[in-house]
Amino acid sequence: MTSPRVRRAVVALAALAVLYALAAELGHGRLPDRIWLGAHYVENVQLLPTFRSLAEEGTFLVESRILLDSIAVSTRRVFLGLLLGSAAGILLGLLTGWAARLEVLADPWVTFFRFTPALALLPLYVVWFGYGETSKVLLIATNVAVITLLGAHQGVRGVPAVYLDAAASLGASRWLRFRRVVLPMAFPTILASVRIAAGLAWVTIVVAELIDARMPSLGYLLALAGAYPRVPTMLIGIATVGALVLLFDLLALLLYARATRWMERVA
Amino acid sequence: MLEVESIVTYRGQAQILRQVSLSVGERESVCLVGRNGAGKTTTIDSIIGLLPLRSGRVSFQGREIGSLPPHRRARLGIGYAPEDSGLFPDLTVAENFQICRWLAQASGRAAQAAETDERVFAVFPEVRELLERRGLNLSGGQKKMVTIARAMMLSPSILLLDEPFEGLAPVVVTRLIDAVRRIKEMKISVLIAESNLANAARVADRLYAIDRGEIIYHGDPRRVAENKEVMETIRG
Amino acid sequence: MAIRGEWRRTRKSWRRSADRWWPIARRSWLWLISLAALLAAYTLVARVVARPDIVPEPRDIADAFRTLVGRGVQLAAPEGHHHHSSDQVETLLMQGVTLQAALAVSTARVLFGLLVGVPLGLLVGLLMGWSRRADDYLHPVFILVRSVPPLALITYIMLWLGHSEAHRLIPIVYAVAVTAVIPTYHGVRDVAAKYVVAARSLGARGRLLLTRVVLPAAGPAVLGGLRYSLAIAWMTAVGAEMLMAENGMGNLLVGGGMWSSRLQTRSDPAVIIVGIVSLAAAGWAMDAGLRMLTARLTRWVSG
Repeated sequence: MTSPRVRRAVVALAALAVLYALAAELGHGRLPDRIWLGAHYVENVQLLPTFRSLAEEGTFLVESRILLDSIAVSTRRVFLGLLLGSAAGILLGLLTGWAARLEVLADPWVTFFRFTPALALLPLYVVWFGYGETSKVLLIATNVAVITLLGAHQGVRGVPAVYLDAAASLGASRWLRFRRVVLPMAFPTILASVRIAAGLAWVTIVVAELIDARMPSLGYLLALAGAYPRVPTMLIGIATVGALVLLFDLLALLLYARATRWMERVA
Repeated sequence: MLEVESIVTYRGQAQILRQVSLSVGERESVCLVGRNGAGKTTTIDSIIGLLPLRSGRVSFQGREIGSLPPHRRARLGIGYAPEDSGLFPDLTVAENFQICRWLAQASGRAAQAAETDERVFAVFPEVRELLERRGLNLSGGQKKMVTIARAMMLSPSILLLDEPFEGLAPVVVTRLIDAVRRIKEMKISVLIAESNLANAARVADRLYAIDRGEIIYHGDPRRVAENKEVMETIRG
Repeated sequence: MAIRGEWRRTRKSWRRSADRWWPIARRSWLWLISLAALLAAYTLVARVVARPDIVPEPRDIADAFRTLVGRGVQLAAPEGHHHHSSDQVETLLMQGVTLQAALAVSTARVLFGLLVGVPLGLLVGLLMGWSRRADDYLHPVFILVRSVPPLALITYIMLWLGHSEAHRLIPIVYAVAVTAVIPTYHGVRDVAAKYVVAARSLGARGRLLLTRVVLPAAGPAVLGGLRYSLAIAWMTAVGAEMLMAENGMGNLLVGGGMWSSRLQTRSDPAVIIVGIVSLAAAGWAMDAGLRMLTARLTRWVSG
C-alpha cells in the first residue's frame, strides 16, 4: 500500500484539504460577508466555510433527511434515464451499424439529436410532458440514447473483416455472425459509451433540476442554497453531486472490466 | 469434386481474375502458384464466396454454388483457412474450436464431435497441448496449424488453404506438408494457394500457375521447372 | 448475372454492400427523403393532435422564425398569414431579442470557452501525460474536479462574482478544459510514448522532442477530443444562459426574463423548436468546421 503512486495521491489530496482549511480560516475575518444579490444585500454569508461549519451543516442535512431524500430522487432519475436511454440507444445503434439501409434512414434523426445540446430540449419536453418526473427522465434518456447509439454503431463497424469472414467460412449465417462475433467484439465500445453517458446524465439532471426546482432533489437543494444563500449547504450539495458522479463512473468502470472478462470466457 | 470454370472476379473496380479455370478431384492436393498480386487469394475467396463472381461458374460435388453465400458453401463441406488465420485473439484455442463445434451443430454437420476431434488431433498432435493458449500467444506455425485444424472441425470434403506456409521456418513447413499428406489420406482434398514454388512442388499432385489473373500453366509440379517462361513469371 | 445479396469486404472493416451500392448521390437522396418523411410525419402528428399550443404546425414554426428574425416587423408575410404571437414571443420582443443576436451571443461564449479552456486543458493534459510524478499528484485532483458538473458551481460562483459575464463564462471554460485534458493525456501518454522512446534513442531532447515528436503523435487524439469539447461547450453555454443570462440562445429558449420570472412566462413551443433547430444547425456547422480544420492540420503535420 505504500507504492509511490498511492502515497503521492494521498499527499495531493491532503494538501488540497489543508489549503482549503487555511483559506477558510484566513477568510473568516477578511472575506466580505455582505453580498449584493441583485436586489438586496444579504448578511452573514460565509464564502469559504470552515470544515467545522461544513460538518455541522452536513450533520443537519443528513439528520433532517433532506440530503438523503434529495440523493434518492436525483439518483433514481439518472438511473431510470440511463436504463431507458441505453436500451434504446444500444438497440438502435446495433441495428444501424449492422443494416446499412437502416443507417441511412436514421441518419437525419441521429444527426439532429446529436448536435442539439441536451438541455435545449428541456423546455420542449416541459411543454409536451409538463413539469415533473417525465420530462426530466426523458431528457436524460434522450441524451443517453444518442451517445450509446453512436457507441454501439461504432462498436459494430469496428469489427475487423477477418473475423466475420472466418465465421462465415465456418458456416455461420448472418444472424450467427452478429450474435457470436459482432456482439462480443462491440461490447467494450458500447460499455465505454455508457460510461460517458452516465457522466453527462448527471450534468443534465443537475441543470434540469435547477431550472425546474422542486423538492426534493439535489438541484433543488442547490437552488435553495443559492437563494438564501447558505454556502455550507451549497458546497455540500456540490460535493454530493461530485461524489455521486464518481460513484456512477466507478460502477461503470467495474461493469466494463467484468463484462470484458466475461465476454472472453463465453466464446 | 470442385470445378471452377472461367471465373471473372473484381475487387472494387479492378479486374483481378480473367477467366480462371481449375479443378480439384477427390483425394487430390492441388497447388495454385503465383507471385504476390497474381490472383491466388482472389481465386480462393471466389471459391469460398467472400467475393462475388462477375461471370463463370463454381461447382462443388456437381452442384453450382456461385450464388450461395459463404456460410452456405461452408456447410456443404468447403473448409477455409485464410491467410491471416482469423483466430479470435482473445479466445483460447479450445474456445476457437468450441465455436466451430457449435457452428457445426447449428448447420447440421455435427457428425460425431469426438470422432472429428480425434481425426484433427491425429493430423496435428501438437495442438492438444495448445488448447488453453490464447490466440495471440501462439507462434506463426502454431497459428497456421490451429487455423487448419479449426477448418477441419466441420468435416469438410475439401480444404482451401491460403498461403499456409508463409513466414514459417523450414522445419515447420515440412511438418505442415506432412500434415497435408495425412489430410489427403483422410479423403479430404486440398487446394493450396502458395507463392513459393519449392513448397508447392513438395506438396502438390497437380499444379496451376497463375499470373495477372490468368492460368499460365497446368500440370505436373515437377515438370514446371522445365518451362522457362512460367518460371520467370513465378519468380517475379 | 444478377447476384442476390452480394457483399464485399474491405481491409479495414466489414462494410455491407450498401456502402458500395449507394454512391454519395444516392445517399444524399435517401437522406433528403428521410428528412422529408420526418417533416411529413410531424405535420401529420400536429394535425391529429390539434393542439397548437403543444405541437405547433410547421406554419406556426415558420412564423415564429420570421418574427424572431425580424424583430416583429412584418417581413414579407404572405397574404392572410396571421402574425405569430404568444407570451414567450412578446416577452422576447420586449427585450429586443432576435434570433441572430441570440445565436451570435451564444456562439461568442462558446468560442471564448474554447479559446481559453482548450489551451488550459492541453497544458494540464500534457503535464500529466508527460511526467509520471505530475500525473501521480495531479490525477486524483483531476478526478475530483471532473466529477463536479460545472453548472452546479454556477450558483456558488455567483456569490463571488455577482451577475457578470465572467460568472457565466467560467463554467464554460471549466467544462472545456476538463474535457480537453483526457484526450491530451491519453494522446501524450499512450500514443506519443512509443515515439518518444524511439526518438530519445536517436538523441532527441527537450523542446525538439516536444515539438517534433510528441505534438504530431498526440495531435490526432487531441483534435478528435476537441469535437467533444465543442459539444460540451455548447451544452454548458446553453445551460448557463438558461439559468443566469438575459441574452443568448438559452435565454431565448426559456422565454426571456430573469431567473425567477422565467417560470411565469408561458412557453411557446414554436419558439422553442426554432431555437432548437438553430442550435442544431450552429452546432453542426461548427463541428463540420472543426472536422475540416482537423483534416487540414493532420495533412499538414504528416506531410
